[in-house]
Amino acid sequence: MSTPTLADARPRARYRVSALDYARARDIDPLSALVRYRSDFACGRDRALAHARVLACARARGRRAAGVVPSAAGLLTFAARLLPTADRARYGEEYQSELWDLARSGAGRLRQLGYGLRQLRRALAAGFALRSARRGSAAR
Amino acid sequence: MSSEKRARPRMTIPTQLVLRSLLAEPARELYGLQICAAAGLPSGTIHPILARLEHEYGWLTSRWEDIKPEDEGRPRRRYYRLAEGGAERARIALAQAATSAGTTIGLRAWPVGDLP
Repeated sequence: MSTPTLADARPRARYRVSALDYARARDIDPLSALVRYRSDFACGRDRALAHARVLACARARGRRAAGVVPSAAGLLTFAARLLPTADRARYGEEYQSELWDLARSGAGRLRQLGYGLRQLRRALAAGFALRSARRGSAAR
Repeated sequence: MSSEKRARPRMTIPTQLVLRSLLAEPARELYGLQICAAAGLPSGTIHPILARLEHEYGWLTSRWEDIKPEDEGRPRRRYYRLAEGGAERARIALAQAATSAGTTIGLRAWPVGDLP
């Protein structure tokens, strides 16, 4: 594997996120996805980026077809980042799935943004609940 | 103290509404938006409650919907239901919450001059 350069850092990060999204969508263990990301990147940056673009396009196509408002999806991604690391993937996927259902049921831009904002507002409370549950189970 | 605290969540009105909606059909699994609709709460407000009831108190269990997202053309949902024993504990907690609310209302309704 070639030595990582600073120029590679952004595409690497982008591809790592895509690999993890891909893993979540197909119920693959995130660790396997990261291993795959490393080996893909080792095969060549261009190939890895092309693959990332394909994945991103597929995701965006699916969201557009469902009528998902991208800014609402962005709010949910941010809300998931406020949760403990171990719970981010699960709740991130759950939030996006609910947004998708909301969009499919005909919710407009404002309703979707409202959903995103409410999740964002309550993400800290959810994070607190998850952290305290983890502390409780560790103490037991 | 901590084990006592862990035995029962704070029975806020939204918590009670979520529990009541799950208790309506304890065997039925519901996903987030369905719970919101059944409880009459705005979408996007119940996840902290669900997280507490599931992870901290063990009253709920959840699982991913068993579908392939690429085949169905939509992401999988997360389904919740009352755990074994959770339904009973939820019923007791709701009854206690109703009793204490009734007591408070009863005391407030009692005219101060007529108190024994």
